[in-house]
Amino acid sequence: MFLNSKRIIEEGDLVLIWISRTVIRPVYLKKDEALQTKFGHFLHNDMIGRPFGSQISATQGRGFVHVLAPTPELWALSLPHRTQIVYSPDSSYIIHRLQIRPDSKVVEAGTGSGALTHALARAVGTDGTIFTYEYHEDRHMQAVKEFKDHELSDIITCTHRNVCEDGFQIEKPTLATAVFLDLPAPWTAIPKLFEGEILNRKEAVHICCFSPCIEQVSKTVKVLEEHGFQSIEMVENQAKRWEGHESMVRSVDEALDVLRDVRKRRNMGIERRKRKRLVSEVEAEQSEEDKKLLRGDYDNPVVYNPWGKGERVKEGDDGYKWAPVSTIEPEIKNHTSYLTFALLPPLQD
Amino acid sequence: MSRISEGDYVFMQLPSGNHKIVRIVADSLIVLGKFGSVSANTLVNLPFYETYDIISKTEVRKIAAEPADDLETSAESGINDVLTMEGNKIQYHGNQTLSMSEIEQFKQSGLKGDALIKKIQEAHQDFDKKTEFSKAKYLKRKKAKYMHTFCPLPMTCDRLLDLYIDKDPARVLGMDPATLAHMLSLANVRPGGRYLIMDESPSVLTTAILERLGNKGCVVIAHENEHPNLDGLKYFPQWMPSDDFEGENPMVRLINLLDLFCPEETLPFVEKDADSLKGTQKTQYLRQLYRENQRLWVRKQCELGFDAVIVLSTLNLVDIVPRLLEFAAGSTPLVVYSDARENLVNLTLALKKDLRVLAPTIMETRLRKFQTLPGRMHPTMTAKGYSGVLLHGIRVLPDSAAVAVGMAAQRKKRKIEPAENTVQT
Repeated sequence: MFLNSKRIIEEGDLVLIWISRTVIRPVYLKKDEALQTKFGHFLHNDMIGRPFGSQISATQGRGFVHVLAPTPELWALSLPHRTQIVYSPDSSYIIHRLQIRPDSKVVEAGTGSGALTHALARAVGTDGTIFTYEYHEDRHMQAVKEFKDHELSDIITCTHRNVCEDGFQIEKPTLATAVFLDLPAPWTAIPKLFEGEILNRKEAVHICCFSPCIEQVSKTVKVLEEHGFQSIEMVENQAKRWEGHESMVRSVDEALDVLRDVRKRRNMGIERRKRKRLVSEVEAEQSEEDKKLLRGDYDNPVVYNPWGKGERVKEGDDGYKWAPVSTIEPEIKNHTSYLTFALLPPLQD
Repeated sequence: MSRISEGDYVFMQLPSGNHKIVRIVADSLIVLGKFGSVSANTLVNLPFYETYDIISKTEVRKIAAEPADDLETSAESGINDVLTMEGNKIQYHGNQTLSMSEIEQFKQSGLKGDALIKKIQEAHQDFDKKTEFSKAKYLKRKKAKYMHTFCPLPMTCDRLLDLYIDKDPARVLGMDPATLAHMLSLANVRPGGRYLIMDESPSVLTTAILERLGNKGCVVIAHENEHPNLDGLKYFPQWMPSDDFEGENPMVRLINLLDLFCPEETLPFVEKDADSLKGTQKTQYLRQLYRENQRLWVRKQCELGFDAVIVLSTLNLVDIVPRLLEFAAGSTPLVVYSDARENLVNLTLALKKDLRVLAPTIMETRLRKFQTLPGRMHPTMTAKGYSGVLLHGIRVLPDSAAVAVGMAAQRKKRKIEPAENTVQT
């Protein structure tokens, strides 16, 4: 599911239906069932047997969706936000700096929405383990169910626990080499890492604490130092999303021509009104034909419109000049959290 | 990986904040420039992550590590500092009574490390008038210059990238660690995956992926030159592809663009009976056979489709990316790095017309480092400038018969569907 390279969609598979950039829906495929979206009605039968990534048309002919294989990133996008999630620019850097490798053992508290847990599980693979702790019971239950549904239960061990009070110890030793703390008071959890066989002290242990406030960082740094952590470093990761577009190239000469055209037509208007007066003055004696002749052909002048003003012009349409540009998303993630990293050297025997 | 072994490449952190990669070759001398030199044999079996003082070429002593910000001792004196500063004027020059040549003489007479720094400190006329903070800063500067210490760290891709960023950022196309990390996640890199990549850096991207693969999966490097740039890979001998026809399933496989895009131009391979050949002829033949098998393997994988296409190249992206897309399986990620956003804008526009990539998006990630002294926390005053950005999207299999909702109906009735749907990205 999340950990294989399956190419063909089968009944029972979890797929992510890409409806639009903002609407991605997780669906378990079942024969003879259908998916109703605002873009149409889609039959599961039309998806089963096709390759992942296929574009599927709605039954009524118009409208389509793409059927995608789940990845931690797509899954995070499809989540109804139960808690603030750790977004991919942060989660990717955390995994990188924590030196997480296939077969690593990782401690994570709390589980939250499970978005980071999925990314961690992908990184450690079937030879590693993620020990994740969540103090909120509903969230814990939800996560347990989700990891089971996603066939990740063998990799992820969930514990319902307030680690700041009750520590990390479970029946088996966790012996982790990487720790991620996304807690309101990580400094109360750090000493608990040294109770029981939580850390693998034969190897270097990397830790990351994720806190939104600088005061939290201050307290965390102090406690990390007291417990022998080195190379303490705090960073903030700012991510921006850009989109590529085409912007119409509107030249000054064209602008001048527009003004010339307006001036010309205004003059024509004055002229026409003059003639109209003339026409009405002599109206009685004139036939319809002669009236038209007197007015001249000023009634429906062609307007010079080089940029398709008032028309429905789509980006990149022929007949106009375009330049490539990038536009930033309207609202950026200005601050997610501070990431405090540190390293605990191995104990020497 | 907790102790140094013979044959390792080791990343040496030096007091100046610089680093050096050294190889532990038995009976050789490891030279750390002005920070001294030490025999490789002395380093073997030494634990990583500790700081060592060089006593002599054959003796090192473990010392307490210097914290990254070693000024925190004076952190709480921040407010007092302001008071001491009033009424105490410190001249900028001429406080140090020792001349450079005198310091050199001390060094030659065998004085070094802490003792030498103490001497220099004593010779500073106004040292006591300095604020606590600036005293600590002064000593830190002197330590960076005169201490004979080092801290050995295991080689990782992260450290390799740091090294290139310091030495010559152009070689890694100005790529920063956060962007590299983001590429790996967006490309869904995981143990066992098979990836088609172009890597114009000295294999930094390659090693980053290999670290995530463990010993399952494969990286196929499509290279534009006859030989790929594998400079950085030499620090990770376990992954170096060999030409000595060993290893049935190497994790790094190579193919040049001509063999990839124009297989019909590849010279036909003539099979021979290896046993009938002798000496260099046999070696040469086996090497050719090995290469031919690699090529066939890659071609087969091209048909099956890769788990992601990852591109770090200065070739015209609008040109190369659509060609590589052919080898990506459905629903797999496309990730492209460039050191200029403009390149990716052009690529986005091309991909929007291509329809094989869903929602091409440009991402920019920037790290901001902070000084972490309690009560003195702020972003560092200067940082390296990076312009690297990446484009990501998902390879999809378009159906030419599919029609977006509202594409034809839109003229009759305005706004029958939200705008985004009329173009159904």
